[in-house]
Amino acid sequence: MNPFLSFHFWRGVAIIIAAAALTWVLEYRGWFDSLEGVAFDFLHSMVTPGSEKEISNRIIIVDIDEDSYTNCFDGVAPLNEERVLELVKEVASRKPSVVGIDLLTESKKYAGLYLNKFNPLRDNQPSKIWAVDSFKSGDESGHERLNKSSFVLGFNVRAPPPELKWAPPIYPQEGDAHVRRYPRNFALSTGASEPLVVKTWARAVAEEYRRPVGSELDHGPEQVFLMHRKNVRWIPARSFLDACKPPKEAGSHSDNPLTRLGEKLTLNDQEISKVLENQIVLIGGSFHHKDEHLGPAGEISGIALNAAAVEAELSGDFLREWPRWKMFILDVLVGVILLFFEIRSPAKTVRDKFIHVAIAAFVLFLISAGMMYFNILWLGWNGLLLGMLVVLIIELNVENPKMNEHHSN
Amino acid sequence: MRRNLVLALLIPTATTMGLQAQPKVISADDGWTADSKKLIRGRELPASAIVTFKKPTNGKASALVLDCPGEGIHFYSCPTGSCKPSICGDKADGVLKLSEESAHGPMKRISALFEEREPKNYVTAAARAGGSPTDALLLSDSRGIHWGPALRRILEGHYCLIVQHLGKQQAAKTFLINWDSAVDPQGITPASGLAPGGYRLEKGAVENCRADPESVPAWVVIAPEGEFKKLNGDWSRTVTSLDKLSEVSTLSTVAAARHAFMASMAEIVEQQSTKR
Repeated sequence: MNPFLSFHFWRGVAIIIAAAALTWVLEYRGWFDSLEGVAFDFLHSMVTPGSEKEISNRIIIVDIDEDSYTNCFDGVAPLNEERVLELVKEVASRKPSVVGIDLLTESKKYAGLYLNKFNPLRDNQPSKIWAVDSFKSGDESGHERLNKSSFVLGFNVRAPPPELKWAPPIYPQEGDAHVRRYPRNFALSTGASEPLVVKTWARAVAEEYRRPVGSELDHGPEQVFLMHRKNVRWIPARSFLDACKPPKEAGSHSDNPLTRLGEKLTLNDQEISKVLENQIVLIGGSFHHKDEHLGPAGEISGIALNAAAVEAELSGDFLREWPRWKMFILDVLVGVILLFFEIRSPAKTVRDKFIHVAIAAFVLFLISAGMMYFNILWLGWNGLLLGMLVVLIIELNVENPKMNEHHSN
Repeated sequence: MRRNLVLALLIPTATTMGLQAQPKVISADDGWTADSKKLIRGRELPASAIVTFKKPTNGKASALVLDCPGEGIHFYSCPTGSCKPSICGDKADGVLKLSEESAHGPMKRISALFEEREPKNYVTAAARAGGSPTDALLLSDSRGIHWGPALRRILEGHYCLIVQHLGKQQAAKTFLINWDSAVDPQGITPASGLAPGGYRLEKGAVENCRADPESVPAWVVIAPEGEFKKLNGDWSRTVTSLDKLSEVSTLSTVAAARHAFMASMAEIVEQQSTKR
């Protein structure tokens, strides 16, 4: 008998569609964040997308590590603004292509310092992108993020001097508290009649890097999933500040698990200048685990997260999801194919049924991994597995297999 | 029969949850109500609901963020203190309405459900590291409490310090401070009724003296001049040792060790205080 004409098949299709629709909604609401997160993290550690070969070592992180924090900033935060500006000035003097400053400089009292003492920082050679914290905890649960007026180098972001470029380094947090996605633009309320759609920090840095050569960044989706690669190089901030420069024999890095991705450089002044010239330099702080996040590969410092986002912008080495409705069709199609095979070789015992579900789960995982190689993220197989389990449960608990056979015939 | 029931349950549930047509609250500050009920995240608003904002006592923020089906995210702000906007509409009485442009294609206009995931909470990936008081030994003299050492990681500004005794069940005491380390690094503030001893210190907003949810409480030991001189040497040495310990141990282990030492200092100070 043609399997497509059987009751068994069409009932299966109906269940697959219903389960995929339910999963679709629950996924939208974040109910599968944890499950999808585990799958994503595992895939992330297993699969190397084809685009990785294009990744270069153009990003250098100047890190305020524990050692720099203790010796250059007296172990006090908020960091001494004057020292922060000195660090930026020193880094900028090494002629990098662009400097991204991932340190929040929200204290109003330093606006005068910026104006009077650090005019050279107004220079656009190299371009500097300052980080802004545009949000604050809103409701009583402390989870909401609401717009507020925000300051950078003492200036309200609504009216900064024209040469002061800023952007928010923000990331959505999944239900399991991990950060996996990267929004490329963000709508920001400023009190004007229209919201200000701003580029997120990493995008702004990447665009500044590309601007002199006139090439545009990929106009991809608004949000992508980040890959974390070991292509960044780290230099401790202490190497740049005369007041706390380490003795020559002691130029080591603090051992911080947050900065384990990439290569740590111990260089002299001359070597530093050579390494930094025409590159992207990101200044941030991994000290004291204050800017710590959970990424696909475990704990990661905010500056490393931003470095991954900048690289994603430049090389296109990120994972994109298809629009959800396309994913829904894919879920259903794959489900129907699996159903077809199940009908062609039906499981006869309970053990066989579980083996079939396990094989299907493995196949789905392989498909997901294959898509990841081509930089497409598909985690909708959660719904398919759910559908298969529903079928299994119905068959085990509700139906008499003999009756089912009778129906089919 | 039963299998039909399962399907009958699954499909409408998915449909009802998926094709929501009502505006939904993404977030709302205190003061926003719909039909006299406080707006909270996730609440769906019928078109007939009357949304109002009345500035609460000591309230500062007035932001309301709505997810408007087919229109995207709408931000409202009410600088006048009393507003009555129409839900997801253009009519706004005293309200600054800001709309996020969300239409990039016909499907997106129908619902974000077809395109992307639900909006999430955002985190800022940047170093600031300040904001919370730090564990410290504080001097109490005739001028007041020297809060400075506990406030080293706090930006300058006006704050409410919330102080709760570590051992006794007492109501928390609150003190206002205008903190600026450049003007007064010691942060001296009169604090009547605060006996020497060990306390839990939190930072709050001046307006309502409620603890900042992002602030991590610190332990402080308040010691009168006589004991302070003796204890300060021990405290400095202990802090140095704990810093070394932090290189090979976790921050929580170091904090536990520090708190144990502070508890012993608090006991000494309180015993001396009782004797007097």
